[in-house]
Formats: sequence, structure tokens, C-alpha cells
Amino acid sequence: MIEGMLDGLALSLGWPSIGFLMLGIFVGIWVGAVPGLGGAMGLALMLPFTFGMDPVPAFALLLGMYAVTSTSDSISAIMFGIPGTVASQATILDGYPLTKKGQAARAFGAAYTVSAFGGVVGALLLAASLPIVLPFINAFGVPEFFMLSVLGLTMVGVLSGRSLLKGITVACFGLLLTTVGYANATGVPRFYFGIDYLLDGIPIIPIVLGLFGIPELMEIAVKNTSISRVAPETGGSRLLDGIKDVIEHRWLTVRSALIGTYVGMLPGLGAAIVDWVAYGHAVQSARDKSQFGSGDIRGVIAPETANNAHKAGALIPTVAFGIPGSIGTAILLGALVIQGLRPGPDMLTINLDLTFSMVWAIAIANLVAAGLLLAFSSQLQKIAFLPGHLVVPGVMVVLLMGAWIATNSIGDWWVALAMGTLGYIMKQGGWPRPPLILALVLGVLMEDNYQLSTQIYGEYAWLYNRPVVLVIEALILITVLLALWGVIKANPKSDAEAGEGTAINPLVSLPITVVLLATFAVAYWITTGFAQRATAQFPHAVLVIALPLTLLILLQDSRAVLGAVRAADGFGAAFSTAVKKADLPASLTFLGFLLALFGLTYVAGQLVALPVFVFAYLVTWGSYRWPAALAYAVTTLLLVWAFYGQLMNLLFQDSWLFS
Amino acid sequence: MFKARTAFSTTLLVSGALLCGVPALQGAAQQAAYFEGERVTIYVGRTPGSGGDLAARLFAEHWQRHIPGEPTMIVQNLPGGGGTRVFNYAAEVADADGLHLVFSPTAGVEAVLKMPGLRANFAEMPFIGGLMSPNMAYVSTGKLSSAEDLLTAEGLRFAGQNPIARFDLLGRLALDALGVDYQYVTGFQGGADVFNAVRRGEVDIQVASLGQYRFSIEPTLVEEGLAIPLWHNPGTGPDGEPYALEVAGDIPSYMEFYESVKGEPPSGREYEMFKWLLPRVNDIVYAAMAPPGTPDDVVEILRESFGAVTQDPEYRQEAIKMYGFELPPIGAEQGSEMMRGLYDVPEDVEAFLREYIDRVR
Repeated sequence: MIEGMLDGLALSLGWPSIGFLMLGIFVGIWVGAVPGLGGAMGLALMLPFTFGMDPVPAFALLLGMYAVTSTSDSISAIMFGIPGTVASQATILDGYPLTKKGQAARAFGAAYTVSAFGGVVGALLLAASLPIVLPFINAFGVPEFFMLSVLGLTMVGVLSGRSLLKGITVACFGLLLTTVGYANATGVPRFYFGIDYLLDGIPIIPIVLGLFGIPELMEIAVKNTSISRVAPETGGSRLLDGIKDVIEHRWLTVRSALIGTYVGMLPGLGAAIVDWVAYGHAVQSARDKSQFGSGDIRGVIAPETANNAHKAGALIPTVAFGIPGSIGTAILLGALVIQGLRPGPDMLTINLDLTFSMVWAIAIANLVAAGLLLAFSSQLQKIAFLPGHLVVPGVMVVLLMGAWIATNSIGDWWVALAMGTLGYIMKQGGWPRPPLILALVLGVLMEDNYQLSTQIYGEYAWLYNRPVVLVIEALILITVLLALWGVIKANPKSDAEAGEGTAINPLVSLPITVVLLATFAVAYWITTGFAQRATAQFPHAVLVIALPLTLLILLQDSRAVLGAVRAADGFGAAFSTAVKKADLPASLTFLGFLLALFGLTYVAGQLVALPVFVFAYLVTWGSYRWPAALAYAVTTLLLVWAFYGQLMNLLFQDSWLFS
Repeated sequence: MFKARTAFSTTLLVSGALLCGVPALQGAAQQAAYFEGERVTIYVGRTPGSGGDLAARLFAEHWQRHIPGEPTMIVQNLPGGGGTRVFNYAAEVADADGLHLVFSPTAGVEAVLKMPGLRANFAEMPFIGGLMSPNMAYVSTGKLSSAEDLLTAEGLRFAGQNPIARFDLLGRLALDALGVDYQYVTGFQGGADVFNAVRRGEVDIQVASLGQYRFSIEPTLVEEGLAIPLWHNPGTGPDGEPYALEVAGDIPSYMEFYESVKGEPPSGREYEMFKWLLPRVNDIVYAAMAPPGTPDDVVEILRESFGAVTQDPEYRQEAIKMYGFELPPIGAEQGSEMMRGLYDVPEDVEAFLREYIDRVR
């Protein structure tokens, strides 16, 4: 084993492998930083370049890229509140608020330090765990995966802000969204309303980008502020502060690395789940939870450690047992095959040095990327203090093109816009957004594994006669009790409106409640028409929970509205106050801009619409002079054409004018 | 004198050859001119990195060298609609100029059953060439010790993705024709998940691609004595009769397996349906097609070049590296016939299939 490790290290550091590793790192930093791309996409695009290469440099290139996307994805998550990849969703919750407080450098310092730690520790834990990997993986069957997804969903309790009821209801909505498209168990399409785009389900990337990214950009535009609400002279922070934070919270870092490595080993539990689990653990294990969601550094440390450790954790089952745990590792498995290698015992015996060279590649890549990004971050964090109107158009273009990558379809933009609108109203109305994302990530896993468990093990027996299931059920119970205890202990008089789900604006919340109630009611009615039990079962179960909860919220919101009307001496005054508080007129104008962008896209395509949007925004919202606006717009055009059109080969919208 | 005569003869021969060769050169020159400097876009209905995507990328890399004029070929992913979106796009939007092609896993079941989402008519899209992706069935040794025990073993579970997936349909028909007592378990996300479930002992039988078998299943299960290969799904000849695939090596064809365990050739309603479905949903997995209305002469060029790729030693070597074997090619005529067959569905066949699928929903 030791000899294998040393031989592997020698292979990784040899030429040209080290050169390809560095190239992979540079590409990976870019791939992770640009929203919508992700490690799997990067692997898919780079894989053909490895045809004809020797195995060690080929994997150095691929793994160098793949390993660091979970490091650089925190750039847009922290700076703009937009996840760079699905693995950085949870990082937004506290990373972006830190940026708004002028502490982006601190967040970056912590994120990159723990990313390096997580990646290296994950790789080492992996190597040390080889003897137990297969028994560990085999201990988790479909019932265990179902229970793990339920356990994951209990994190809703810590993500719900002020209202647990609203959090659970939003989670139900998220679960319902996962049932759109073909049901896996029956092959019957659900809730697609004759729209082909929906047959494969709603892709998650446009939802996440829209739900988190658009409201933040809208807020910057409407409030005419920089990303940081604090001027640099008064509230700045340094990278070193973030590194010190990591040392202070070292045991959380270690635990998060363990979560990432061992959860990452389990096939099907991708990075998107791992970072939420780590975040939830950070909240639950904290004595003082009050700052989570408003800029608690632990909310950056935990997910960023876990999502890097996860990459290493997912590799060994792929290589050693031919068990790919995710789309990315499935592509790596393909790469193995293309190199003429077979996963399995050979990779742990005659090719052990090659296996370890992969482990070392991940470890080295994480260290190098973290070092590079730390060095670069002191400049990067200055973006937080730039005028918001300069930042918004560029980031909006990147967000929309990131959404477009999902299926190269205008449907991706409509989903992003719809979710963005919903996200903005949710934010203003005190509805937490993270439970929706958590449910989206877990919903398919939950339904599929439930259906499989009942088919293989019967209706209920597997719930009480499997040891690992019982352990997970105990964890679920503890988590739920802790969440309820937190609700009971919460200060009811607190009117602080910082963090997700804490806004108090009942006249904005009530319409959301009504729309959700109507949605759930219509969906329930539709499920009664499904001919097959397996098609209806999961959405039906979700709706049975969601409907009464939404009715309760309707009562609460109605009372709150009546209270607000009385306090304001009339509905008109109350409505006016609510609208002003939510900046609705300006928000609607911004939405109008986006709709105009969409309309122009139908007419003339993205290469016209996006630069025109940028120009129009800068001139009207930012009051910039037209030469500067034009230069920005032309740069946008070149970026979209060169990167998305030529390099990524994306298919642009077929426009009316140029079809 | 000899030299002079030789020189004259040579001149005559060369002139004659030139004169005879001019039309061919002109044709080749025209062909090259059509594609030279152009970009040919290949649309794939799968996400980047998936099996279908990688197959298309590997093929495109070599295809561009064999098309006269050596255009640049790029791959664009158009996932969605359960794999049907790319065909709809090709049929309704893409230019029919030979510079826009589809190379994607076919939606045979969707076409046969007229499922929602598929508007393209495969029979109207010029078929350029196709590749088979051979597949096979195997069983874990948890409940039996030899392939022959399949007919008498109890409690077997055959796992798949969903009732309309081709592996699931063919697997069920094959097992039902044999009279195997099994439970059908459905809802796995993909072949890798089914393989994991077999490994854990939760299910027993899987129909998997031959590539997955060679690279994952054989080294980790079969060679460890934990699984036994059963049969491979055969190809279908122009006469409509199934034939064993050479690439499957020592894995018997379904007919051979049937006869070895039952002592007689396969027969029965389920077998007839299995035979009927094979060329329509299984024989062409990756199909290269052009939008309706693509000029015939351009289609011919593409067909010839497609065939040339399948004979190219460089491509064949890389295909063997990627899949473990060469994907058997399907020619234009046979492929076109297969596509037309998707719409020639007798009423009783359609009714049987719908009932057969609904039975397990």
C-alpha cells in the first residue's frame, strides 16, 4: 500500500503529467466559476482530448479539472449569490450575506482554505478506507437511500427561517416540482400539460440560478447599491480573517470532511446533497444559531469542506468497483474504459500506482487551486464594492447563459425567470427559499427509492427490520426534535429581518399562500386521474401534507393582513406600505426589462438581445454615457459569441429574423 | 523505336485515362467543394458525457475526415423530451442542406407506441447510417448456480428503469417466453444503479449494454463468480430473422440460450413479439439521419462517408478501446427499412404491447 502511494505520487509529479494537471486546474477554476457549467460538463468536453493519451497524464488532466470546480464555484456563490455549480448552493446562504457585509475576502479566505483541506483530507481518508469501502457501500440499499433522503429533508427545519410551517410547505412545492415529467417507475408523464420541454422534468440549474440569482440582482438594481452594503473603509475584512476562522472552527471542518468523504462514497448522493447535509450539521451542532443565514462563517466552512472531500470520496467506488456515484464519476469511468483499463480488482492490485496517482492528483489540485484563488481573491473581492449597476448586466448575462446550458432551450430561460420572480416575492414575503432547493435535490432520490423499496421488500417491513434504516430513523427523530425545540425556544418577539424567511410583509406573503394553495389543489385533482398507483403515489403523499399546511398558513397570513390593515388604518395604506417595503414598482420595471430581453430573443436571438439589454440597462438604470455602455455591450457580445457559441458550441435560440 | 512507340502509347494511355477520368474528378471535386470550409453540426439528444454523446463525438471526430472537403464537424447537445426533442428539431427546424444532422439514440418505442412528445417521422428522415449497441442479460448467482437453473429458480427479480425502456421490454419478453418465474422491479435511474442493486443482492437479473458488461459487470461480478451471463439480444437480418452477433463472443444469442435450456427453438406469442421488436427498438441504437428534404446526392455522400468511417482502422481501434468491441454498423438500406417498420404496426401488435406495458404499471 505504502509503495503504491509513493509510486502514485511519483507518477503524478512526473512530466508530462504534472503539466496536464496544471492545465486541468486552470480549466477547472474557470469551469467552476462560470455558473451552469459544472465538473461533469467540463469532463464531457475534455474527455475527447484524452483519446490517444497515456492513462496517467489523461487522468491528471481530467481530475485536475474535476477536483477544483468545487473550489472555484464558491466565487459566484459568495460574490453574487449564484451557485457556480450545484455543489455550492448551501454556500450562498451565508457566503453572500458576508459579501453584503463587506466581508467577501473573509468568506473567500475560509472557503479556499477548507476546500484545500477537504480535498486533501478526503483523498487521504479515501486511501485509508479502502478495506471498508465495499462493505460500507453494500450496507446501503434502496431502503437506506430512501431514509437518507428523508434525513436530508429534515434539514428543512434549520433552513426555514422564522416559519417552520412555510419551510415545510415550500419543501413540498419543491418535491412536487420533481414529479413533473416521466415517472421513473411507470414511464407515464405527469404534469407536463402537453409541453415537450417538461417531459424530462424541470432541469435544476435554471431553477437554482433563477431562484437565488435573479432576486439578488434585482435587489441590487432596485436599491441602487453595490453588492456590499458596507463601504470598504468601514467594514472590510481580510483573507487572513477567514483562515483564522477555519482554525477556530477546526473540528467542524474535520467533521464536514468526514461527511463529504463518506457520504460521497454512496452512489447517487451527489455533491448537491453533501453540501446541504454539511450545512445542516453545522447549524444543528452550533450553540449560537442566530447568525446562520445572515453571514455566519460556519455556513461557508461546512459546505465548502464537504463538497471538496466528496470528490475524492466518490472516486474510489468508481475506480475500484466500477460503481459510479454521480454523472461526473460515470464520465470518469468512461475515461477509464477508453484508456483500456477495467475498474475493479486490477485497479487495487496491478494498477494500484495508477489509482493512487489519481488520489494524489485530486490532493495536489486542491492545494494548488486554493493557493491560486487565495492569491487572486484580494482583487476579486473588490467587485463587491463596485457600483451595482455595473455588475448587474454582466452577471445577468452569465446567469441566463448558465441557465441556457441546461437544455439549450428558451424553456430554461422561462424557468429561470419564473423562479426568479417567485424567489423575489418569497424573499419579500418571508418565505424561505433553501427548502425548495433541498427538496428539488432530494425529491427524485426519495420517490425512486421508495418505489423500489416497496417493490423489493414489501410495503412496510423494511421500515423496521433493517439495522441501518433504524439508525437513520433515530437520526431523523433527533433532528426533528431538535428542530421543534429550536422553534419553541425561538424568540417570538424578535422582529429582526435578516436571513432567509425572516421578512415580515403579510400583504406580500398572502398572495404566495393563495397561489400555492391553488397549485396544490389543482395538482391533487390531477393526481386523482392517474391510472397507476405508482404514478400517483408520491405526488399524492406530498400534496396530502402540503394542503393542510398551506391552509394553516393562509389563516396565519389572513390574521397578519388584518392586523397590518388595522395598524395602517385601512387597506390602501397597508397595501401602499407593503408595496413600498417590497420595492414592487421598481422590481416590476426590472422584470419588464427581462421580459423585453426575452421578447427580443425570440425576434432576433441572443447575440442581439443580450448586448441590447446590457446597453439599455446601463443607459437607463445606471445613467452611464452611451460610449461606455456600448463598449460593455460589445464586450458582452464577444463573450457570448466566443465562449458560449464557439467554445461551448451551444445552440442559440432560433430567432424569427435570422432563422 | 520501341521507346518512341512506348512513349506514344504511354501518352495515348495517359490521355485516354485523363479523358475517362475527367467526369469522376469533376464529381469528386464538386463533392469536395460542397463541404469544403463548411461546418457540419451533429445534434445529439443526450447530455454531454453520456454514452450517446460520447459515441457521437468519437464518430464525428473520424467522420469529418471521410467527407469530401473535410468539413469541421461539431456536436451540439439537445437533450429533452425523453430523447425525442432532437428528432423534432431535426424534422421541424434544422436546415435540410446536409450540414445539419442527427446522430442520436433512436426513440423506437416512442415511435411504435406513438408516445407524447415525438412529432418527427423517422421514415421521412433520410437514413444515413447506424450503429448497434449490443446488449445482453445476466443473472447473479445468489439464487442459482448455473444458467440452466433459471427456469426453476424462485424469487428472481428482473430490474429495469421503466416499463417502456427497451431493455425492460426486451428483457420481460425474453423471460416470459422462457417461462421464467420472476418479479419485475422498475424505477432505477440507469444501468449503473441496476448494476449496484445486483451487486447488493437486491435484484438478480439485468439487461445491460455489452460495453457495461465487459467493463463493469464481467470484472467485478462474473469473474468473481457472483454472476453468470445468460444471452445476448441478437441482430435481425434483412430476411427478418434474428442472428447471433459475433461481438458477443461466447455469450450465446437468445435463440441459442432458449434452445439449450428448453430443448427446442423459441416460440410463442412473447417470442414473436420479441422478434418483432428487435429490429425496431434494438438493432439501431445510434442513428445518423438528415432532416427531411435533404438533397439525395448530399445524402449519398454522407452515406458513403459513414460507411468509410466504419471501415477506418483508426476509428475501429478507438471504438474497441471505448466499447471493448466494434459497434456493428447498419447500412442505409437496412436502416431505412427498419425506420419504415416503426410505422407499420399491426393493430393487434400495438394492442398487445400497450397491454403488456400497462400490466406492470
